[in-house]
Amino acid sequence: MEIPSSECQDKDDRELVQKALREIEYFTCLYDRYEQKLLRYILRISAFSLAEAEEVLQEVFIKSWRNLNDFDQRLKFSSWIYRIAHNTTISEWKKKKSFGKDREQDMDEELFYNLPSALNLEEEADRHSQIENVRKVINLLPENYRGILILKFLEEKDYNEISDILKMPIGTVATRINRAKKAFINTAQRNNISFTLL
Amino acid sequence: MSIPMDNSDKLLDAIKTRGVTPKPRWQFKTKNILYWSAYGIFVLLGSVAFSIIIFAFLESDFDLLSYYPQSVFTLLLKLLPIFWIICSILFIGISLFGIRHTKLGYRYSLLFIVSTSIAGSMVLGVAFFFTGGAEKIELILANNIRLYRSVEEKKIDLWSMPEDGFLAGKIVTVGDRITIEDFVGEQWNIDVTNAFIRPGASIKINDSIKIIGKIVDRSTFIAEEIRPWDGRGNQRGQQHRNL
Repeated sequence: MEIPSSECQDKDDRELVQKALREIEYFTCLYDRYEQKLLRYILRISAFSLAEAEEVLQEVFIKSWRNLNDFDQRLKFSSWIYRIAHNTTISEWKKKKSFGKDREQDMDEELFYNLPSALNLEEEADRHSQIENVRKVINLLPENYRGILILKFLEEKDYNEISDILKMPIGTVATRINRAKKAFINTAQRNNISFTLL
Repeated sequence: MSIPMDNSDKLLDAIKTRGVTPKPRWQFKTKNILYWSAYGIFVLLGSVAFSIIIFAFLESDFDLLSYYPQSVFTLLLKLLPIFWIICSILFIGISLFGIRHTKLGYRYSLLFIVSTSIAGSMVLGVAFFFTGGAEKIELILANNIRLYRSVEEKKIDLWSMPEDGFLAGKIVTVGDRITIEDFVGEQWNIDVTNAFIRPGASIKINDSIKIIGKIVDRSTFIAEEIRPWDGRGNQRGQQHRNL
């Protein structure tokens, strides 16, 4: 049975979860709602190709389906599914990295162009150089800093959502964001890329 | 010509092909309850450990550190309830693990969880101590576990070191000198001429006392201070008078 898109749109995530537990077809509403966001997130925090990211995405939704009864109504569904996406991507990426360590991360250009201003930094360089420089710095950051910067400044998640996605207290989220910003600036400086605070 | 499947159809197809079904809700609930129970049980065990630590501290004469002629560290190891201190740290650690794995446990900061676990263990531990639970647990453990050294046994060990100036036993005779029988059945003549006797110490036949002093030979000991077996007596004492 195919669910008409108007019926998907009328319902919020929680309702769709309840419906999906009774009729699996409603799960496709959630898939359609989050497919692009999660695919973009997977690509941002890893260096998977589009095809690989799509495979990871499918795994994310299969895991979500298997654990759908574990979804806590006190959370936002988006935080819960981002958490699964985050953990699955990191775990798959770690497996893959062991035989592809030197691969360059190939993320969307907008991300690299917009990140410095999101961090209140500016660089006197043309668009192309800035994108290259940010790409370089991001690639050098540890995964925990890269992930949290992406969640905060590119996925535009608030502290509560990041806390639920990464399963850490809000205080730790704030501290880690500050550390990640500093790490970004320091890594840039070590690589002779100078960003100045706006 | 067949219509190409969109991604959501591919997902449904994959779910059906692999036979994936949602795990039942009770499994997640049970897991959550188990983690909360682990938290509760280990805070409770922490309180038992804490009550025995209180008991051990009250039973130990920490001021002996200033009298001990050898390494203070060695004596400290004898005085401190190391086993229970390790147990309480372990119990707090496990309770921390439990609460961190509950559904929303990650929202609490480490500091908050550790301080509430410690506070919970301390409050319950004090209550447990005052109801006599600590002593009872100690007794049960001492009677049933061969390797376990109870607070009382450690106290006996400490006060059975006449060479280091610590002796204790039951009073057998009272006169110008007193005679005591130590914990291995040896009799000692105690010179109490210049002894400081703490008011809590009763110098009567069959009473048990602790003595700080100097060994003269294998059966003679010069007392400098006499304390009751239980506790330290209080600070104000008396010089030996005719007993």
